Amino acid sequence: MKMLVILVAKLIIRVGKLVHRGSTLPGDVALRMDPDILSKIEIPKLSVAVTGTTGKTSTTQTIADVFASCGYKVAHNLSGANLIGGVATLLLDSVTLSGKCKKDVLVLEVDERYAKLVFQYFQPTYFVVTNLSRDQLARHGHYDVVYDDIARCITDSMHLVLNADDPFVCKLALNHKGPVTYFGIKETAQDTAEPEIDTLDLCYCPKCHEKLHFDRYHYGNLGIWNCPNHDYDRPECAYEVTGIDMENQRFTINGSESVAIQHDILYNIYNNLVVYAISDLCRLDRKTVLSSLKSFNFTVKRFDTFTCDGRDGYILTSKNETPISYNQSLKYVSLDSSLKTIVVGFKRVSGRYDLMDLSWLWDVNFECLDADTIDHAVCVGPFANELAARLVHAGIREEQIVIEPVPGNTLQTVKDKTKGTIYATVYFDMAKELTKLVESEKRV
Amino acid sequence: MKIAHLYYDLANLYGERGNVAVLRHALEDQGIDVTVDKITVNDAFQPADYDFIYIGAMTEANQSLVFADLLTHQQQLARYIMDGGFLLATGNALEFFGKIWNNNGKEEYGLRICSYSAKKLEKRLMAEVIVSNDTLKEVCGFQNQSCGIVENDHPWFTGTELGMGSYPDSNQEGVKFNHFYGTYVIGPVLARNPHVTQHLVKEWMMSHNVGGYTEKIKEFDKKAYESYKNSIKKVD
Repeated sequence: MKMLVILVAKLIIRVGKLVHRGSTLPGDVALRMDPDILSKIEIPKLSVAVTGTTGKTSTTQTIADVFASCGYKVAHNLSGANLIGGVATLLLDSVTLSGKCKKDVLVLEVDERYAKLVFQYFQPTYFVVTNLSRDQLARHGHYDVVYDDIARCITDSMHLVLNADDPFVCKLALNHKGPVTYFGIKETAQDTAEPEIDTLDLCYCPKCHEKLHFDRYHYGNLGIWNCPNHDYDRPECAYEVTGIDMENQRFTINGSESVAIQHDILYNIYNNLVVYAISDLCRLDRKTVLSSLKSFNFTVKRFDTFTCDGRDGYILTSKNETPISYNQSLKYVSLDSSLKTIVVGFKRVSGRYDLMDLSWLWDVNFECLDADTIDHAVCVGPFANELAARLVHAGIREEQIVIEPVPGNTLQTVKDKTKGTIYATVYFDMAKELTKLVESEKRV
Repeated sequence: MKIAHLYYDLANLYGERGNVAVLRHALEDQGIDVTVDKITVNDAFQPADYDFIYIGAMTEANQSLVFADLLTHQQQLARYIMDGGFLLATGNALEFFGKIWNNNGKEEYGLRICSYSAKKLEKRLMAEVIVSNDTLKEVCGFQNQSCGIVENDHPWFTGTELGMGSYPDSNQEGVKFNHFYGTYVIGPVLARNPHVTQHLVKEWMMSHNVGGYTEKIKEFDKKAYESYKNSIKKVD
């Protein structure tokens, strides 16, 4: 029976590859044939699972790439296939028909809510949590629900690798008896004394309930913090960023190790810091790791540049319903004090479900934009009016707003009606549309 | 005019800070000077010092922290509401003001200012909402709650076009008692419903003998409201 299930999964995988789709279907079918199939096959002895609100996909992919550069045979789920079906597909693809493992290491991106299902079948050697904050509330209920789901699936056999700058993530280690390694950033040039929005998803000590003190905020919930009674302080980092050189796109770990990053965006530092930490914990060859980090070019692009009528343009993919992601993009925009036009919009609120809750727009700090340096704000798509109202309450003047209900007209409208550098802080669907428009423009 | 944004750091689950921002803008549009004080647990707080109090939705864990502090203001808050003071509680913040509420699985006495009680639901309730009453039509939003309220003698809204109401199939939503306004509609409910904001501003001005109210709804707010309403009604 086991062999039959594996065989069926492999056949569907092969057909799927021919038609370029179906990354979750083979696993779903296999699980329906035998719900216990994953506990009957061999899992690589070394495994790294990554979850968190942001950074999962890029981090996981880079970890997989680094292992591959060091000569490991890697099983890795490609972006998006992070629910149970996708994970099952990956695991079934990485074993022989008899269920023996063909890979050296398993590198897994796991959805926050699905870790509890995935870890029923195996426990990863290393479990990385990048950060945790409000995200897709209409799906999750709220962030404590997400936290509880992650906490529930942690076993003492796992080596936790946690973001020390995030007090909410650190709470996961409170009752953990297995090893824990922390990573963090000491300071950045963009640090602030106040948070972007008033709320942090954990701002009171989980032990004595005093309000946590933050020396500085990097962004979102992340920063240098402690409990006033020292019942719950930011833990010491084994891997800490001690210097950042954005201009040359490098950062320093523990005062000596110089590591490359892609683009001058802060969250990429966390991504590569995790990759470095994992590769060091797994004793990969340092030189190979560092040179791979330098040469990688992400296939997952959340940041893109273009030119249009001689104007510079940036596409900053910003996740709807995930303020920590959106706020990073806006912060990047606000650092440029020259004249600019911003483009905001999306076709669907969620790529996952049809509920249309826009409450999260008020957890996005549009207030950080300085209306005096903005030529126009172009609001695109079916929710253009909702976005416009939010921007006006954030201080953008009514006459600066341009409404463009048709996503396909975005570039033309920007060209016809606006001036300055173009910053598009848009959701995946609009980023794709814009990229398409820019490409077709190039061909003309 | 002084607004107290109570538990601003613990009770802002879904962009609730938007309610304070748009209320402020609407009052300023009427020529009223507004200051907002952000107040949280252990802060000195006298309800009588304020003209408007706002509390937003929060996680169930934060509810425990907030309620423990709220309890220290019980008498002053009861007097404030009985005297006709304005208080808006959105999301699960409204649960505190009734007889019984559910403190993380345990039924406990609430502030007992109103007569309703909060009761744990079998399943978390998440839905798009459209509710109305005689003066406020088609108030739109989203509900996301683990409890519902029962024995509610003073519903704010009595028609539920979309959503489940404050308790599944109750056909009533929220609480209005004097100038205590409670609704399970979460998030920036005032930002999304400019007519509700205007209504509160008008009521406030009337009850404080401030004359000269004229409805001032910004064009973008009106369009945003219509667009959102049509999208959850699935109208093109």
